[in-house]
Amino acid sequence: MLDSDPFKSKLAEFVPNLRAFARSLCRNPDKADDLVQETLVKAWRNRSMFAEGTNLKAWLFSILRNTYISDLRKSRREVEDADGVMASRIAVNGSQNAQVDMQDFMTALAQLSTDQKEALLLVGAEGFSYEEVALMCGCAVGTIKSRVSRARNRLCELMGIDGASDFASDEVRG
Amino acid sequence: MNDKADDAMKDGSNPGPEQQEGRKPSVPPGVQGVFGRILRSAYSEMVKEPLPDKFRELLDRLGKAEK
Repeated sequence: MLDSDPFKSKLAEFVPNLRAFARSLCRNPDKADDLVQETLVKAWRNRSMFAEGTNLKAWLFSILRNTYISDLRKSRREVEDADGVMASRIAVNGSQNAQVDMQDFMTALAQLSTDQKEALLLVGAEGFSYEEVALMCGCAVGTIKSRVSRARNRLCELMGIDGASDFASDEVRG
Repeated sequence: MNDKADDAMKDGSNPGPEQQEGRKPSVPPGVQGVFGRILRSAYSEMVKEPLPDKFRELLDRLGKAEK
C-alpha cells in the first residue's frame, strides 16, 4: 500500500530518523513514538503545504520539533527531566571503553536544555546545515551556532573533560 | 563563535545560565570530533532499530481515512 503513494513512501523513509531524533529529545520511548506518529499525521494532513523539490526531511523534522515544544509547553512538569533514561536503552556495540564513553555521553546529553540538545542533534547527528536548523527553529543562524557551541561546552563540563585524551583511544582516532 | 553575545540578545528566550556558559572558549582540541562520532554512532544504533508495526499501520491508515 505504501508504494501506491509517493508522498507516503517518502514519509516512511524518514520514520527511523524521526524516531531517533524524538527519542533523543524526549528520552521516553513511548512518548517519542507518539511524537513521531503525530508528526506523520500532521505531515499527511498538510501535505499540500509541502513544496515539491524542497527538503522534506527538514520539513518533517521541523514539524516534529514544533510539536514537541508545544507539548512541552502544555506539560511543564516534564521539562528538562534529566534522568538520562535513554542512555540505558541504547545498545552499544564496540569496546568496553567506547561503551562507557557512550553511556556517559548520552547521560550528559539528556541533561542539556532542549534548545541546546535539538541544535546539537540536528547539526551533529542528522547533518543538517546551521541554516536549515535556523529555519526549522525560527531563529538566527548565529543563535544555532552558539547553541551548538554551548551544548558542546556543557557536555565537556558534565563529563569532566579536559581534552580528547579523556576518551577511549579508539574513539579519538576513530 | 564571536556571535555569542549578539545571539543572546537576539534569542531573548533563555537568559540566565546559558549566557554565562556562552562566554567560555570552545571545547578542547579533538573533543568536538569525538562528540560528533559518539553522537552519530548512538544515533545510528537507534536509526537501525526495527520499526514497530504501528508505524506502518498508521501510514496505511492515513490515505484511507480520506476516501
